[in-house]
Amino acid sequence: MENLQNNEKKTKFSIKGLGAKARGWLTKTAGAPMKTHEKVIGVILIVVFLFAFYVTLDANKFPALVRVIEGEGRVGVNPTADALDFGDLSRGTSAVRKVDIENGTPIPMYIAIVKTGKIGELMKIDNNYFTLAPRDKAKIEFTVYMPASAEIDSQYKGRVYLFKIPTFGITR
Amino acid sequence: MPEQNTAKKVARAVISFGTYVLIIAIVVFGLPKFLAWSLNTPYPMAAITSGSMWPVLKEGDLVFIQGVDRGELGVGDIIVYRNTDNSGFTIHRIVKLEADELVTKGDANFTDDAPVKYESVVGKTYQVFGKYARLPYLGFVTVYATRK
Repeated sequence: MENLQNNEKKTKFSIKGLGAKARGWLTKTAGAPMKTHEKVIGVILIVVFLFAFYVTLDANKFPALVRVIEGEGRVGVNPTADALDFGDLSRGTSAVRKVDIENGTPIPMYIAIVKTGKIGELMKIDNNYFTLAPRDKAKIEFTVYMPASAEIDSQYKGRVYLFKIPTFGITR
Repeated sequence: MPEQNTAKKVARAVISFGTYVLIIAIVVFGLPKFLAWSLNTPYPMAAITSGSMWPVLKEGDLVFIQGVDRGELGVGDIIVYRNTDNSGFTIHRIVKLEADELVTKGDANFTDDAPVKYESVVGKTYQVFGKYARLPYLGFVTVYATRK
């Protein structure tokens, strides 16, 4: 019984000690104890950071690729669910890939789609930024057009990031 | 004494604010005028609003334009010219020089553009060490405004 009480005391002491240590470190670093408004700003920054961290982790990431082939009007399709593979395209042709998304939560989600890499410069997205209502579905079309200046036999790669940001009803 | 300190603080804040405003005004109004003077053209900057010059110039790039005389134009130069219907400007590469007109084509396009009169040419894209001077993404402001 006595041991248990001692342990509890030790635990409480260590948590308090940790808080005191953190305050001490902050005071030492800043040269003065934190004021109330600084504490409020600190908490807000931590919340914003955690929110951004969650949105980034929750984002869907699709590798995207396309290969340029010789000829006219030639399209080779490589169907795959894991990547936005536009297959083989000759100059002047285009390919479309569709992605279905569903908001299974009771919160409206702001959808932001960001494309990167060389293929991102050739890709058009029919709807990059929009709000998806709770329990709603949407279809996004990705189109790649191969221009006359594309290099034959080269492969253009990149990534598409689909961010889902909870709006809590702020945007419609 | 505290009143004097407050007055000093206010004066300092006003001077700092005035300095910032002055710097911003010089950058916003002075830089385009300086560029127009140094590059010898009334239109020293242009935004790329389409992918017709991909991959040399990309959508959203901000490029610098240098005013040139007719004799300085050659096949392969990327030029800016005023559209005949005054709907704006086009930035494409010269593919043919003729007596009264020149013909251009976007690198990513399959067909040549309609011939352009030499008077419509604003200038050619400015190069630094043989490479086209471009500021990626800065032209998206214009691209956004054009689409709206």
